[in-house]
Amino acid sequence: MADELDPSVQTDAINAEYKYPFHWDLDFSLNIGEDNRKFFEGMEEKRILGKKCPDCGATFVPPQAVCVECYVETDEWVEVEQHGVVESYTACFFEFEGLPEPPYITAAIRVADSDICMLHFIDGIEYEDHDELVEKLHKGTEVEPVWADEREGHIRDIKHWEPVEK
Amino acid sequence: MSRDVAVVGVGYSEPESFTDYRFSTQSKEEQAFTAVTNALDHADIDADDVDATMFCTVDGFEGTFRVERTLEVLGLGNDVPVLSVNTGGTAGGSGVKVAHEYIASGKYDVAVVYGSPSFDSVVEAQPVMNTNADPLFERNFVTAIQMGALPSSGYMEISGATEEDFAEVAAKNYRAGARNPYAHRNEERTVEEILDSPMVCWPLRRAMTCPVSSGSAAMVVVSEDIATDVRDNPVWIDEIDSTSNTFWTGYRTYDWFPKLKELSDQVYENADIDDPLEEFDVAETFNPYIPFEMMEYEALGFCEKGEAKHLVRDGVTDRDGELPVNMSGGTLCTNSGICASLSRHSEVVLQLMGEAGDRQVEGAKKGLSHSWGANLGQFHQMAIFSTER
Amino acid sequence: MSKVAIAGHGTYGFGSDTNGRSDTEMVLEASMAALESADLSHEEVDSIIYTGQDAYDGSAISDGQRVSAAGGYRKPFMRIQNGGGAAIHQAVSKINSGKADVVSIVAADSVYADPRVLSWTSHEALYHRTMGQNNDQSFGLLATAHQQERGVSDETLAQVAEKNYRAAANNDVAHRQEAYSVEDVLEADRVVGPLTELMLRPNSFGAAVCVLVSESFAEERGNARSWITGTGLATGKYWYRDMSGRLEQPTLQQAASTAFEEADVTIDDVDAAEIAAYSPTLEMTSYEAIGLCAEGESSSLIEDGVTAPDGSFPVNLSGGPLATSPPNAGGIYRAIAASQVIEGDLGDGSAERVLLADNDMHLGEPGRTDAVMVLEGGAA
Ligand SMILES: [Zn+2]
Repeated sequence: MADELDPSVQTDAINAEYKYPFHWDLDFSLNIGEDNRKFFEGMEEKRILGKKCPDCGATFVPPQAVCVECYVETDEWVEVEQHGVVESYTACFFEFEGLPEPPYITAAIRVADSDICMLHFIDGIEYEDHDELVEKLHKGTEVEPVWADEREGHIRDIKHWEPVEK
Repeated sequence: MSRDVAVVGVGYSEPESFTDYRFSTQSKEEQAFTAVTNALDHADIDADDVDATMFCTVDGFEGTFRVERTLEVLGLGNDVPVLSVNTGGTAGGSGVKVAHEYIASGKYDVAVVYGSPSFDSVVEAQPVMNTNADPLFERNFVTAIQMGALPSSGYMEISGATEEDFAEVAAKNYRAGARNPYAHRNEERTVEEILDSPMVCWPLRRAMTCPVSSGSAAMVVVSEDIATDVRDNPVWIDEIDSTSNTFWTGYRTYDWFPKLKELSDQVYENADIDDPLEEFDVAETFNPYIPFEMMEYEALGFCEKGEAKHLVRDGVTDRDGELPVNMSGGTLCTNSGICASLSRHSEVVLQLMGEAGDRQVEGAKKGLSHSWGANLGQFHQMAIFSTER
Repeated sequence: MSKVAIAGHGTYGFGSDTNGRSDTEMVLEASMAALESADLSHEEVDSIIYTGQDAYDGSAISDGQRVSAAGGYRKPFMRIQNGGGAAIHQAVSKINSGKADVVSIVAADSVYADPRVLSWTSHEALYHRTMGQNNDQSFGLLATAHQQERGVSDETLAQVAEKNYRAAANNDVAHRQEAYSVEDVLEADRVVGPLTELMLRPNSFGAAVCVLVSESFAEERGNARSWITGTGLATGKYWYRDMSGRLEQPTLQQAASTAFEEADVTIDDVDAAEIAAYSPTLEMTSYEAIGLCAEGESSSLIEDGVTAPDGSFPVNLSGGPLATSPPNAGGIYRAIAASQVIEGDLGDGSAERVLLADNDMHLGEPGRTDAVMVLEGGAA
């Protein structure tokens, strides 16, 4: 059918008389619940907290209200070691609102012995191109958090994670 | 090859969660877990035995598009499908309908229907509601309150119902809500108090329109074998169906619900109902704007067209009347979004189980539930429940 | 469980524009084409299922807007948001429950918005959206794991894309119809991790309608184009646990094994597949999940051209999502394509049994729902 357009072309530039632009600008405010509140309080104090399942003993960082394997509420809070292992990562080459200049690296990081991974940025790696990045970062790379000076109870109170100096 | 289908469990989030949505502090995950766990406990069914979950929502309200994808407590692992059902205000009833079809067909044995507290993360519900109207023409002129007011004023014209009649129906709902721990508005209000409340949009006064609430509900729907196995008083789904009107409201007559009349005629024919007023013991209808309840009496065949005022004036639909309607306090007392649509069904189920607490209508054996939704009531949905197959 | 027939189908598009048509006009055109191909009047349709989603349509309760054009006036109108495959799964049960004999499944894509941003709004707000999580980023995370754990090269990933474009070049409704080479794919702009623009879907506009009828209805009318003999459905976990587990695509495995069991067949009885694979990694690991090859062996299927259009088990004779990806209508279109493979309108006409694997991963991989169907020939 139609030719592929360059992504930079705005839709209203084409057949404008057939278009009716509108903007969906709605405000939302999420109820974060007790668990996330407590986790973010920890972040403000540069502490990383996890929550444990009473049945199977799994630890969840970030906290989960329910262990879905056991279908019970988690109940015990633990402070975990500030050490992570990269499960996977990817470099994003596209610009995205509110995020760093591309390319930036997002990784799934297993913090301490958490059952689930935390998504976060990885920085502090020098690389020229994607091939060089792939040489330097791997599944299993050990990383540690770099904290923001000003913290406000938010997941980005950790600025990013960096490979541990060996 | 169709099988009988029953409801064996109902669960709500904590009574305190049925409140003004602005007071809500629980996360979606926490509310979902509470309601689903309560429903499974009530049904005496283990989470591992669930075959499928129907998540009922209006996406625009959730703050996260397809939010159920992120709620692992509904999926219970990698093998249970979570169907995302969104048909506006009727979505809770649509979820029951989907569950019914899956179980009747033999595909699944145990389904959980979850009604999301869909307003709980909006800052203001009205702007979201307005994205529902046609963007080119109607969005510029109507909001949800006009959707309630337009048919209400037209109905007054053709039926001779008065503001006092509306206030009487509202007072009946507030009396009922006061007996329901899961009602958001749970204090009685007199006819005078209702008529004294501020006029919002003629003929609707503030106390004749619903609040915006939080709170969630879940229901466990199962096949015939499991139903008789897990409890002595399962509630059977005799019939369930829905119908649709045009999106553009220019076709409407704005004076009652003719499409609901068509639907109820069909549903009653399929379910062998001759005299709904006599044959039903309880009913829950969708009444976010109180005049709707009277239009629904007529469209659901409780009386002839234009005669609902007599049912109201004679107390026929009150607690001690022939057919108590909305003994939960209805959507007028609690409108937690899609949960309100599922609650119409779950409340009838609890009545037929004899487990409706202070709102129980003694000896209820057959009940009707109805929900209404989308642009100016574009969709109507209804179900008939029974203690006997 | 009784089998259900695909009796008719119709599409409008697909392309990077609606060609000046409104959503209503496209739905109407596709619906009428579908009814005509099923030899049915709109009065005979018992029930409608819509698969569009609020955010893609730009309005809450957007299903209401499609009622009239979809033929749903004064009829039950349901919306299933997990995609066309899930809607067909529900429709099959609707028919088998006795609630309907004729069900029309409908969707269209006409509203322009950035699909990457829409996907972002579908991710968890506190921990994932803050890190920019969206569809493409989730595909990148999986692709990195795929390359590191299975040693898959960029060239192999590009070969998967090239094979899809080779098929799409012979499909006159595909959005991308150019037969891009492996070099074209590798040289296209890099988007995320190893994935280039041509290893990811376009955003397509158009409409698709598929009409399902009960076995008895199809036999009476003689209008079956293909038969759905087995269906399976599963939803995956959202939070990342381990990537190796995700590469195994457990929900696809689960849904496929249910569908095979119900159809009483194995993968050996199947001749071709349409798979909603939104990246080469997802397509390759799908081969393993449906049992076409052992874990980690999908590279050799690609090297040997087994799943190419002229191979012994062609996958995506339509060109798949890399060629055509309308987010609302994609699943319905893939079901239509699977039926066309059986009808002989796509491919060489030799396939007697086709697997359809749909999902809603246009929003990203976490929390996905997989719907799998076995389609068979043998028209009534
Ligand atoms: Zn556990």
